[in-house]
Amino acid sequence: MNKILMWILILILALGLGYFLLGSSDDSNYDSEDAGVNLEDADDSAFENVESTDQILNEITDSLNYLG
Amino acid sequence: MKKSLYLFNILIILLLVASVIAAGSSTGSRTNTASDPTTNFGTDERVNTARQITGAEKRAARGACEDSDNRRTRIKCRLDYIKDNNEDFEAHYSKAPEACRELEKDGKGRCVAFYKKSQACYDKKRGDKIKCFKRLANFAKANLKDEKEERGLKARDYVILLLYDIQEKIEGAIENDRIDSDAGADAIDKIVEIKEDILNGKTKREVTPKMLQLRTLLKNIKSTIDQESGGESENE
Repeated sequence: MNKILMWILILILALGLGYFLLGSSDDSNYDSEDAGVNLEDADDSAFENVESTDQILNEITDSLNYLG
Repeated sequence: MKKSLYLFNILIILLLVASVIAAGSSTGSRTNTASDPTTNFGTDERVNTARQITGAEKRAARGACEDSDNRRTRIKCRLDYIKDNNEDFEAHYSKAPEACRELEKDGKGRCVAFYKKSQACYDKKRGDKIKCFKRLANFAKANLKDEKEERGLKARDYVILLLYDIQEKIEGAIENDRIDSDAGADAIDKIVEIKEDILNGKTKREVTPKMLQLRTLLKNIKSTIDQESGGESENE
């Protein structure tokens, strides 16, 4: 009986450890991918598609999606 | 002979002194011309007319725009000033931008400070200007979709700056006599209304109908410009 309890405990610990390791590895992957170009690394020409009034209005409409 | 030589010397000295004084006073007036609105150096007749108004009269005209309780009337007054004087409307330092006026104390202070900081961006060229807006809105990434922290707040600040940019374009068109101040006032009044909503934390659902109204107003302005310029459409 004690042996069964011990194995259940070991199994729970193993699952907990596995979850912890997999979870943290997922986060680190996400951080290392770090989507998108940094603002200061981007060339000025990357922002030149927001020039006419229509383009500015479209940029505003896109940005409204992120108001939260 | 000796006496006439003496008088001749005195005459020469007087001439030299007079020429030095004349040169000095001539430099002084040139320095003043830049700030003297009554001095006429321009070749453009419109500019010349504007410069005949004194600085005090201009200040009075700008101050009079604050007399009305109606926002659209104040905006139209400022646009008329821009049209008549062919220059930007420089508001009194104590006057907050329209969109900031109805905010509570803290929000108003932040709004005014943000507006003042943004002025540096409007002197820049297009790509650099947008980058400047994003920097001011605390973007870490080049695109809003890639932002991870405080994306909502950054989006709000960025939209405010873009709306100011459209407002600048309208004021430029007024200054260049391409649109009338009534149409300009309608569009800017709508812009201010949207800015107020953004600053008051309104949602996309609440702001979108007003954005559609603004699009229509701007489309009408563009159609008028196109008609008056004989159909030479350009995408400004």
